Amino acid sequence: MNIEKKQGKTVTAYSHSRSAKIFSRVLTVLTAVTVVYPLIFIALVSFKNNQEFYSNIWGLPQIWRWSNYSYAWISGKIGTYSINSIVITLSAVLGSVLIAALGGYALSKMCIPKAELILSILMMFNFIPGVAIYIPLYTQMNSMKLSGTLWMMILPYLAWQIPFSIYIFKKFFDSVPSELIEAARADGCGEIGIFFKVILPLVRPAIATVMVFNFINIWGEYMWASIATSSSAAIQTLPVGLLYFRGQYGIEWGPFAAAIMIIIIPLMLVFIYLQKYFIQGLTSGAVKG
Amino acid sequence: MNNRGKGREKKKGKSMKRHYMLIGICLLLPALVIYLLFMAYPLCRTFVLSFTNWTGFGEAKSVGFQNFTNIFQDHTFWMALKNTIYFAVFSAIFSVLLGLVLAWLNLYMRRMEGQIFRTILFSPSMIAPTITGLLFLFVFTEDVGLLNSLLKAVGLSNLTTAWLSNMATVKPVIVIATVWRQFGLTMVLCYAGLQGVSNELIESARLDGASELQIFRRILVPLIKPQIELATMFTMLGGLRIYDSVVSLTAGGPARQTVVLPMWIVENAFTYSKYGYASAMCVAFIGVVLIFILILKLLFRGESYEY
Repeated sequence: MNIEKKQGKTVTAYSHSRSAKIFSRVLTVLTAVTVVYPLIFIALVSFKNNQEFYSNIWGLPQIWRWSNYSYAWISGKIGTYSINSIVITLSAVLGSVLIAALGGYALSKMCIPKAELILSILMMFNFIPGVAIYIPLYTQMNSMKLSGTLWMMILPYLAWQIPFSIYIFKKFFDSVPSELIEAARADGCGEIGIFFKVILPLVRPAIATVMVFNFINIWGEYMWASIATSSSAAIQTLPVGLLYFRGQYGIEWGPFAAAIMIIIIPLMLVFIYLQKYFIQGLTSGAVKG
Repeated sequence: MNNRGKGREKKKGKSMKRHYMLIGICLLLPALVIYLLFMAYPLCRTFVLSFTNWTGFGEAKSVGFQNFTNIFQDHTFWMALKNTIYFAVFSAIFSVLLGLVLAWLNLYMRRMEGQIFRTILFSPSMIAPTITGLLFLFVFTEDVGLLNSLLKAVGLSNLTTAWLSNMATVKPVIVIATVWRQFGLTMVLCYAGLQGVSNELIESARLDGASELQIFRRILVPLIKPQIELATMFTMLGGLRIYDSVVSLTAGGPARQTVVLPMWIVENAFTYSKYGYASAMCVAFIGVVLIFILILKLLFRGESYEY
């Protein structure tokens, strides 16, 4: 009785204890500060020159030196790196979404025997550390005549995102009723038409989840990119270029911070725009194990 | 008549099923082909190479288990392995603990408030490890680092040190940078579990006089064991791969004190051209990862409760 009454009044079971409410806010706010402050700090540094950075480490910059950004962009070649990163990320993300969506649909709705087994084998490969394949992959790229081109990154990045992407897609497709497909078939719609016109629009949240997840993984990938581009500066990506930038201008803190901002800002935008889907997709995977 | 009709329908159903299966295989094929080509095939080649002395040119000659016995005398390998395990274990423990506590505290907040904090706390998880390493370079650099400046400002200048070249502090610094990036993910995973615990259960425990801390330790934590396991798995296996943030923070220094396995493997392969030996280390590395998966499975064995 008592419980029901309380339930009616309060939203959750956790809103009683005053001290717990205060304690939870204090600790969470403190953690949030340690998360946000370094980012704000870098943003401020990106407008300072070295002299100001040393003398006025905490404060706002006296002059907002946008020139740090143009310096990083042109002299630091961040512009070239950005274009490479954008081309690679866009192609690999779009490619992996399309290929994984088709694969997930096939595994979910097309009577493929042992679909679960195929999926778990794919997922098992995800446990293997990337470095374990980089040596043969590098020579394989040479023999495929792809070295020195952006394909060196596009194709492997696309491939490595496939297991998780198929996993997410299959889970979403499983919740689409099969009757829908049968009805579309009865109406004389072709299989490709069904997929693109009927099914795909129903799983927009899955597309968003996979896109954000793959975007984050590919945009910041460093290890393979550093190996693949070691002999050809023209195809270097942002993370590789950033470390190079550090080595070259290590003490120029302002332009260095500006370069970091250039790589973080697109992530922030994508994340803020699609974060609802991203966290949802991750946790729906977590709940079902 | 009726029976024959049914039989024909069944036959038709079966052939339709095969028809769809064939289409399905065609749809799945691009994914499988590209994955085999850029993951499974190179992986097999690594296993093959690990038994050779290939240097990148000419024929690879088989040397049997020579590479694997060489690993035992390789001091840097063992140091790298030790460091890798150190980073994986400590960053996993602290990320999971911090994420778990924050997810729990999140329950005491109003809906909107909780969601805003979850988004903020999760945001470092999407920043690439390379960038996290560089961010922490600003925090821990000796002369102008954020931390040393802060310590000086509050009059604790005797606590300042060269965090990144002091042997005693450099490894914890890397763990801190990793935890900073990971705890948002573990928090979101744990929160998803906690949300599933029924309010009635918590209410009745409270009526029985359980304190908030007791509810957390005795009820909530055992109930979300699967989510804690998943979070541990994510952070531990992520930690075993640690490379980017170490490269950007310390590049393995000072004096190779923070070298990690992928770093030593890459150096052997692409600097010294010892592809065969590096491949053998890759195989050993995969073995270590598998052992860790087994250990985790054993640790989290036992019944999980239904709720």
